[in-house]
Amino acid sequence: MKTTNNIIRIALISALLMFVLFPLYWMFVGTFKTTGEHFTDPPKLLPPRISFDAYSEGLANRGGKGLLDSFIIATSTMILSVGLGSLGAYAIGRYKWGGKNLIFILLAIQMLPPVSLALPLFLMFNKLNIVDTYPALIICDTCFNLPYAIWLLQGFFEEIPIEIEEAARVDGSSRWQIFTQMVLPLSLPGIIAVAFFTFIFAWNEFILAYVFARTKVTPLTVVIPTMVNADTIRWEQVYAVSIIAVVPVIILSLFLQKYLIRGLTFGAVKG
Amino acid sequence: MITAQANKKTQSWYDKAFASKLMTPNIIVIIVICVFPLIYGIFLSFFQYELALPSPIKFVGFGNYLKVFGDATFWSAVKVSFISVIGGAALQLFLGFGAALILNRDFRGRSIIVAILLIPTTLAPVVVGFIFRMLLDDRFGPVNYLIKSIGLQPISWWGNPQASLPGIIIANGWEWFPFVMLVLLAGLQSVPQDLIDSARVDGASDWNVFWKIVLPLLKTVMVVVVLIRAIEDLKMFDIILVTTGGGPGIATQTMNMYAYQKGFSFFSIGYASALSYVQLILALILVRFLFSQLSKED
Amino acid sequence: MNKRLIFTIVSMIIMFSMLASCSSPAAPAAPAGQPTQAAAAAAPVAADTAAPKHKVTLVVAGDGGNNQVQWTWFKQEMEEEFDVNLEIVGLSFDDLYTKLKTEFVAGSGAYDIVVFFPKHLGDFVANGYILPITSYLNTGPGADMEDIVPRFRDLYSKVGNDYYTLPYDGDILALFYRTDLFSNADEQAAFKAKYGYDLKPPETWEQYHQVAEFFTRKKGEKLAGQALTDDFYGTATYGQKDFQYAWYLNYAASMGVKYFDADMKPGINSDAAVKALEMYKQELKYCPPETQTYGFDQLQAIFLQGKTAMEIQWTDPGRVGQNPQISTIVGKIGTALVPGTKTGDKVFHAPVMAAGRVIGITKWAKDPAKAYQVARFMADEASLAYVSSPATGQDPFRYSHYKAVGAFEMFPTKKDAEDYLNGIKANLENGFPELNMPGTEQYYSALAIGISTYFSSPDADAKKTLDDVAKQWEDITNTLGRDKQKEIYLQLNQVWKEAGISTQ
Repeated sequence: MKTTNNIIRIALISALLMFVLFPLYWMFVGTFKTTGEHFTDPPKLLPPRISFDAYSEGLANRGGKGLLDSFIIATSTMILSVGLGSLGAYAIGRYKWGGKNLIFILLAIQMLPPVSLALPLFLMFNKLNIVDTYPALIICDTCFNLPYAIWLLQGFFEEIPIEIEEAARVDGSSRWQIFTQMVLPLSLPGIIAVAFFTFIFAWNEFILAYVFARTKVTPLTVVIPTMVNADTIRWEQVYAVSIIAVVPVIILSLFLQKYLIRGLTFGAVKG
Repeated sequence: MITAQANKKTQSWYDKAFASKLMTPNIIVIIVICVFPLIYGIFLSFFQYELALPSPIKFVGFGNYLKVFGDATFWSAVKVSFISVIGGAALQLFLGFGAALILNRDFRGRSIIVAILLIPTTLAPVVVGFIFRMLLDDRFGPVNYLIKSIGLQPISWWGNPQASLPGIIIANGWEWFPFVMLVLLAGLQSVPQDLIDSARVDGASDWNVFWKIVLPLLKTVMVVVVLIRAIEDLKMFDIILVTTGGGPGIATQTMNMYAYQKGFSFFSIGYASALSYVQLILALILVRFLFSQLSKED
Repeated sequence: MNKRLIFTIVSMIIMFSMLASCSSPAAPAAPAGQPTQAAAAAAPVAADTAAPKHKVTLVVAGDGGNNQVQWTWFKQEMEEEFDVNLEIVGLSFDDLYTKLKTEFVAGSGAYDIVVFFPKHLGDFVANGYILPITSYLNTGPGADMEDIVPRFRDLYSKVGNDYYTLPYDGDILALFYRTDLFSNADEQAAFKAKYGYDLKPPETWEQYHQVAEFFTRKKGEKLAGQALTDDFYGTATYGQKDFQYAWYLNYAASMGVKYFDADMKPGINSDAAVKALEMYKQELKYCPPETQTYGFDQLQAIFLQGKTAMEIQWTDPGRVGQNPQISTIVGKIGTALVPGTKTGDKVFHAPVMAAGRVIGITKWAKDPAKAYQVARFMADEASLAYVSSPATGQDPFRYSHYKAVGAFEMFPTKKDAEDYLNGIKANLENGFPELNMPGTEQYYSALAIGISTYFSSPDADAKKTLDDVAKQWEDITNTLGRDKQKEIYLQLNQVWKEAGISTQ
């Protein structure tokens, strides 16, 4: 009985892994094909050759610049969101700033379809002359990240016993000192999780980048669709650049797995 | 939980001035990027404002909104959006729950498997769209190849209006079910083991334990996870854009895509703004509904 | 309580509202580019050589990848010859119009030279985004306009009496067929027995359907003496929304369907248009079942993998099909005119000039005279190199291209190259233009969605579909301003008429 159960479990897990890994494998094999080989009947499931041309071409074909831009935008967004978010989260979590509905109002922002804001934002940024600049994308990404960052962080801050802070207060520390020297270090795991998520969010963000990015600032998510031409989709480059875009995120997520899981599940399980 | 009153006698934590200082930068960002464009967009939605031609801008009052309500394409988009949200939630919940149940036991290599399963959630949706566009290609895609090789009729994923939305839901589900899995896994692990044990002692079958004990305890977590996914899926754009572009016909065109098309490829600024707001209100209704489900559970 | 905070917030709202009110409504109504600007700049082409102190940087924007790679081949040469710096900017094919248009609306002046799809020419000219270049062409050096296939030159570069762009990519749809099958004696005999005339590339739509029907065979049946290991199809068609309308217009235009009449009433729901749509749907019987999902890639692949006898496609299969790595039909590809409609004893062909690319100079160009020189160089001297290269996506558009048989090295024999070039030339000479006026995107989107919906629902009615499209077209026209649209359309008609396309 137990062994049959185990066999079923192993079979199910293998099926699950297949389901998740096959699309990734397909993408990987695709980087070794050339135009035309992507469209064969039956499909080519094994790499016809091992060649990393698609990667180097993809990087040369704006992929390298895309990688850099994505990195700049994602990192800045991460820093800003965590910085601002922790301030807000502390104000809300500890001081109940804005009452208990504020957090729901903030979450409503998370709900806004970016498309509905894209148009007025575009006209606004245009007037300010910041379309196609890093700040435009960074500030937008930050704004749409803030509610999530605040929501998660305030939970972490609430977990810190208030007595510690009170004691510090009696010892003559200022509120600001308490916040920076005690609260932040104590909630480091939460901050790492939030940092990771805000990074991924900005790294994968598409629609705002699609609207605001042009030529000077071109994050990867915008570069990849440009490999679709009228006459040929350079599938191998699409895949290669996608893999390049994904690898840093996977590596990060493996290193930070426990924070990642905490961050992913925290809000939901607590809520 | 700490309340203001409780601490008043020691050292007032309820120091609004300090909290306000902390909040100010957040408020500024949110006002500049969200609130102001929102108001500006409402303002625009009262005008006929076409950029395709250098024509003058006309104030039309609620004209654009009236047009939205009579716009069959818009209502089709509403339908598509809601189907994709509901279908997506169902699929992700099904896969996520299944995976969570399978993995809800300690065994060697479990954390590696969880890590691998999480990879899709870290991919950019636009990449997921590209992968599935080829995977589900009618003739040249491996999925139909598999279907054909076991002797079934291949599915016209991107050509049949009945199949293309499911295709998109599958692509999106592939990316996000691990998230649902992870949350439910955490939920499962919070179910007290002694509750299950005592039920077992009373002779309850595995099936009964699951239905009568585990599931009710997980209900809140499930509603929350559905809420989160619904909010996100309602915003889905990238996957559809690169797979079907809204087609065939308008069979997979969501509210988001329609508003984008009106705004950024037709340059009907006023109408697109009105569309966005109607969409926003519908989204709020949906979320409000889910929230009410949530508070019922509490 | 925290009055300061409230004050800050309120003042920010006020500040941004002010910003907005001055931003939006006024900006796009900015005066259209004055032709005089160009005329003034036109004369001193020679004077420009009076050594400017620092080089001007011209930004070239277009869809990137293999549609743009050739700019880098000639970049250095042009920079030296015209004493400029060139910056090449690649945008994505799908939203080239969106990107250019938003930049133009914003008036950012980011681009000096733009490569775009001629269907947006009307929009860009009406809004004054691009400059007329007639005066440059007249004062010289010209771009050898006589060498360009007249249809392409005039339909896609001219608005009113002025030239605004130079051709860059002569996209045209053409009919490709399998020469080995068409010349097979058994097949010829069987065809003649069944239809009573010789098997040859079809000239009319009726013949096209008959040939397609003839070649559509099930797995196991024989084709040219060989038993088929897989189903074989007479033809295949483009199914994706972005360009399917062009395949429909092949039918419709040859039957005399007009976009609009002289009063701007849509002609897209005329009896001929309905018949064209019904006929087009009939074609699906002879296509692979998934043809409605085909974009460029799949449509080309199915033919090159030897699974269809014919197909209407952009010019690429003729060239790409000579590459044995991805083609099983090297040396077996014939090129012919897209079928037409017989009126009297003449067959009227209207292959659609779908997509295509032209080079224009924006009104923000930092040095229009030099920008013209660069555009002219690419459209003229440089053009043979890129239209004949397998590395680019560009198609021939000059008579000198069609004559330069030797430059197309991918063909196994000279004769193959010659047949191919003559075939696509004939199509371009009969080319039918895409609509090219403000609102083009909207008109075509309505038509594309109509066709796509009609095809994907088995019991849809062609008349009702097109009536609905016509109604949307009316809405679009009314929204954009009927009088203005009519004026622009009539002006467009004038150019078409001069180029030999009947418009009324």
